[in-house]
Order: sequence, then structure tokens, then C-alpha cells
Amino acid sequence: MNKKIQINTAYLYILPAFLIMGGIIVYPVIELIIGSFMTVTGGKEVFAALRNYRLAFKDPLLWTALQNNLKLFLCVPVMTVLSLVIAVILFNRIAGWRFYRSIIFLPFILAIPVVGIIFTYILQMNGVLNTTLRNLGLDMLAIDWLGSPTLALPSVGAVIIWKQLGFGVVLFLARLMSIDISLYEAAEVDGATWLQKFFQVTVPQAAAVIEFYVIISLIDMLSWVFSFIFVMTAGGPGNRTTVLEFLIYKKSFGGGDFNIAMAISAVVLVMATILIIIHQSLLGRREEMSE
Amino acid sequence: MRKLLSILLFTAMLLTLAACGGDKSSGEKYTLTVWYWGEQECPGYKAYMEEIVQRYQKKYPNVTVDAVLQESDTLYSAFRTAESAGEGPDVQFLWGGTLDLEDAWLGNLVPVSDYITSEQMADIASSSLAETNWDGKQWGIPAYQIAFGVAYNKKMFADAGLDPENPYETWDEFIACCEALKKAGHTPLGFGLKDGWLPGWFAFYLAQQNLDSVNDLITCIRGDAKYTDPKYSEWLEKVKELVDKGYVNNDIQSLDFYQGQQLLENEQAAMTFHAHPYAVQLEKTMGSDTIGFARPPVYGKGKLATAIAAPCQIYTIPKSAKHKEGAAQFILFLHEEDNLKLLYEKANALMPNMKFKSEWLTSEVDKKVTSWLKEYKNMCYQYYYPPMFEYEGLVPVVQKMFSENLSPADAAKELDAVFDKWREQNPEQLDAFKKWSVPE
Repeated sequence: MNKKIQINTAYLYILPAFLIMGGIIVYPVIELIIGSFMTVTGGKEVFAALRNYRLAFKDPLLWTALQNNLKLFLCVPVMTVLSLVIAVILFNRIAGWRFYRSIIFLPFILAIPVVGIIFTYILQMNGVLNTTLRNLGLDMLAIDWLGSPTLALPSVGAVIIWKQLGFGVVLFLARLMSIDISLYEAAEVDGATWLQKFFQVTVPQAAAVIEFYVIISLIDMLSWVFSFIFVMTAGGPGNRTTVLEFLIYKKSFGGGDFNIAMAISAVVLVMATILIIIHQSLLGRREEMSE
Repeated sequence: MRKLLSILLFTAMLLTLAACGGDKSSGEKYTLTVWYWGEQECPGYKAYMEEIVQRYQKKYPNVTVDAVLQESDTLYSAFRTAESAGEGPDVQFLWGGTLDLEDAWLGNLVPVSDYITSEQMADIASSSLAETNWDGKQWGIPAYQIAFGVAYNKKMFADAGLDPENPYETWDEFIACCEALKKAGHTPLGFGLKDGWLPGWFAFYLAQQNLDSVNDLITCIRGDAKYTDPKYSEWLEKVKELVDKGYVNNDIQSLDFYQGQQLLENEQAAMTFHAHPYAVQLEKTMGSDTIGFARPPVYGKGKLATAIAAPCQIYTIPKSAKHKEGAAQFILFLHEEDNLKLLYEKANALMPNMKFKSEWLTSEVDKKVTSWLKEYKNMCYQYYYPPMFEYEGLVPVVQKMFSENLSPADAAKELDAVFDKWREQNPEQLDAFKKWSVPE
């Protein structure tokens, strides 16, 4: 009897959190999924089966947006390698490493619109970067970074890398600081070089954190880049930087169909869920191996 | 029988009295929420609205007006989000034409004609009411009327050897002006394309010129004509001509629309597109000897070749409005003569209302615009196509013409494909268009 009361009490304690989670996560997701199968006729929502999904997948804009998201995935290996290298350099306690750590982390805490606006002024045709290049006599390098169809997305990607790098550095540095120092000492006794220590000790020891960072960053590139695009390029020029989130926004509020936007949102949700499942299965396998 | 008739008449009288007496606007205290816009194209509109709120609260002491200025980028998204949650304002400002009717078709609005009688609308110009009249109902009441034209720097024109008072009429003369300005070392046109507002403006300056009536465009939207027909797409060749001849600022892709317009006031470009109230502001700040205002150049052969875009922005009543009668009363209040005068004094905006007096006009730009309104037809192209055509068609297509050298023929094909997509994705709106016939 006492055990039953204990269990019920435990459930009672988690009930508020459960209700809040249900209200802010589960309910909107259910509404989204239901809405993705509906359409508005005569001012009323009616069941439309797979209509919205069919129209969404038929729309070339969806594939353009998806391609742009996948191109942004290329930022992830760059961010990961750079973060890891910088973390290792800081871990070697170079002079002023705490200061550098703060400086590198600073962009991460800045609001995205602020970063977007600043970089827009830097990267526009007659912006700070091009003016500097022209003053240095490098006119041919003064390009419309955000207005060029080939350079707009890489430019946004570079800004995302700049902003997100700090998170990876701090994450990896924290992991490096918790690695058993004797592993490095043993490697040094065996005559390992800096690179050998990096690949044979650091990377394997930080593998779980790297995995976590990669998956989180991929999810970010899929469902968290809207603000950068909205502020810096508005999806242009000519849809060259339109990503799935921006497409959802345009479909919802730019004269499109709200229910088709919901169907595209459901697609993004499924893709993000797949990434989370991959992460969870990797985590589970790692835990099994360590046991 | 007579007794029965008396009882029926008495009941009808009681119901009428109850309807009048039950109007919340007449006594009960409440807050009327107004979400408005306009400062962006009519500088001074915010000050006008603040004064209106004071006047309204003085006249109706039971009402507190909470007027909130909206941003351009979020005017529709904020409204639609609020409306989908049943938390919309009592009075909502929207852009006119399909930019209003789409929300009517989405079920976000109630007809204002359910709350405002045709007698109460009698002073408002029927051509302006027609922009938001659909299915026999009125879905919006003008907030103000603006005319669109080309604002230009007279001094730069004189410097290029051009006549600042009579700059051009036809497209060829316009191109000659651009060439002369370029030769004199001035950037002929200052535009910003990044945020996507400019393509819609290009369309309502140029795209209607081969049409004989609004219904020609509606025919194409319905799918009974192809957009690749030069009648509809010749204007794209004109845009391409501007690109090819280098008459536009080199950072057009980097700048937002308003930043492009500012090139004129910063004297970095000789011409730009402007709504007339803003041109009036420039006339006041830079002087009428510096700022001129001209009609779009004419190239077309249709009856609408010389038409100017003089659309109305409008006030609507959302479906979720808690005080619909109060909303109607507020909207009508804006059309009282003193308030029309206030609108002009504060925001330089016109109102297509017979009570609006031409003797109030003080600026040369306003006088020119009112003479255009008398002389030429009024047609705002943007008000008659589905908004999706702009966001998924005009915006990327015109951007590609500037950034990727997209040809006018390919641009027309892409725009035609957007209409195909719109028809497939929006069968209900297509039905609405099939029902729509704009009075000539």
C-alpha cells in the first residue's frame, strides 16, 4: 500500500511539468499534424487527406528550400573541426586562454537579428568589407556577398559558423578538461606527437560530445536558421537562400496556404525527429559498449 | 387581423429600438483595439492616429481606443496569427484589393457592409470601394488614398541638361532621361530589391499598360489567358532594359526597398518610386525646386496605358472583433470632414470622399496628383492578383532578372507557372476570382 502511495506521489510531483510540456510541445505538434490534413473551405476547416502533402511535394520551391538546408549542413563539419581545434589550442593553456574563450563565446550569446543586421551592413555591396577591399585596391574582390546568387548562401553560412562556433568550443573544452590526464601522460611516455595525441586520445575521448554537437548542429541547420535568412537575405536573390523554415513562413503569411505550410512543418518535424533518433541510437550503442 | 398587424409592428419597433439601444458603442465602457499601419508610406500618420484617438475618446467618453502601429513585415502575420487564435483587434488596417479580400476568403473578416449602410458609404468614391467589394459585399473602407509616381531630383535633371518641369511622358523619353543622367555622372534610378517590395511596385507602375480593363488581368489569373502573351508580359522587357543599360544603383540586391528610396533624398540617385505622401515630405524638406513628382513612363497600347496606381489602404472588421459595431463607428468617424482635413494636415494623405476639399491642398505634388486623378484612370495592378503571385512569382523572378540575367521570356514563363500553381493550390480562391467582375 505504502509503495502504491509513493508511486502516486511521484506521479503527482511530475504532473505539473508533464502538463506544461504537454501544453507547449505535445498539443501544438498534435494541432500541426491535424492541420496538415485539413484545408479551409467556406471559412471552415475540412478534412483533405493527403492533399497538402501532395501539393507541397509537387512544389519545386520545397525542393529548392530543402537543397538549401542540405547545403547549410556543410557548415556542420566546418564548425565541428574548427571548434575542436580551437578547444584543443585553448586546452593547452596558451597565454590568455580564458580571455580568448570568452571572446570566442561572445557571438553565441548575441541575438541573431543583431548579428544578421551587423553582417548585412558588413557584407552588402557598398558595405564595410567591400569599402575596405576597394580602399586596399582590391576592387575585383568587392562582390555583392548577399546579392550574388552563388555567394549569398555561403555568406549566410559563414555568419552562422561565426556565431555558433563558440558553443562548440566551450562544449569541447569542458569535455577536454574532464579527460583523465594520465591518458595524455601515457601517450607522451610512448612518444606520441601532438597530432597522434589529438587523434588517438582527444577525439576518441570526446567522441560522445562531438556526436551530440554534430546532431544538434544538423537540427539547427534544418530548423533554426530562419532568423538569419529573414534578416540577411529574405530568401533571395531569386529563392537562392530560401530554406524550409522561411518557406513555411512565406506559405503561412505570404499569400500561401496555411495548411500546406503545416504539411511542410510536419515534414521538417519528421526530419528533425530522424536526427534525434539517430543521436539516441548512437548514444544507446555507446552506453552498451561502455557497460 | 388589424390587432395582429399592430402587434407585429409593435414587436418590430421594439426590436429596432433594442438593436439601437443594444449597440455597445452607445454607452457601455469598453476598449476598442485598432491595429493600424501607414506611417511607413504617409509620414505623420502616427501623429494623425494619436490625434484621432483623442478626438474619438472625447466624442465617445465610454470608449478607450488602444491604437497600435504595426510593422510592414508583420502587418499580415501578426493579424493572421491573432485571428487564428480568436484574439484579433476590433479594427484592422490592411492593404486593399486582394491583399484584403484574401483574408475575407480565408474567413478572417466580416463584411463591413453588415455594420455600415450604403447610405453611410455614399460619400466615398465608388471606384475606391470597388477595390474591396466582392460577392456583393464591402470588405474594407478606405483609410486613405495614395498615388504612386516617380519622385525625382530636379537639380540633377537640370545638371543633365533635362527639363526638370517636364521630365518625360513616354518610355523612350524616360530612357533618354536615364541616359542623360548617367552621362552626367548620376545614378538614374535608386532601388532596393532585397526585401522583395520592389517587384510589386514595378508591376503596378508598368504591367497594366497593355490591358483594357482590370478584368483582362482577372481573365489571365483564372487561366483563360497565358501570362507569356506580350499583352501581360511586355513590361518585363522594360525592366530588363533598365538592367542591361545599367540605370540602377549597383547595390540594388543589397538594399531594402526603403533604403533604395533613401538614395534620392541622400542625392545618390536621380529618381525612385514613391507614394505621393512621402514625395510631399521630400518636397517640404528638400524644397519644391529640388523634388519633382512624375507619372510612370508610358509604353503600352491598352486603355490602361496611362492609368495611375492610386489605391486605397483600408480598415476592416476582423471576424474575432469583440466590438464590431464600435469598430464600424470608429471607421465612420475617420470619414467625418474635420478628420479628413486632419488626415491631410498630419499625413498628407488624400481620402476618396466627397467631403475631402481640394482647397485644403498645399503642396505642388498633391495638386499634381489630384489633377492626375481627374484626368487618368485609376488602376492598382497589385490589388487584383493573388498575393502568392507576388511572393512566389514577382519577387524571385525580378530578383533573378537583376542577379542572374533572367530573360523576359523565361521570366514570363516562370510567372505563368506561378499562376498554374496558385490555381491548383487554391481552388477556393480560384472560385472567388471566377465570381469576381470589377465594374468598368
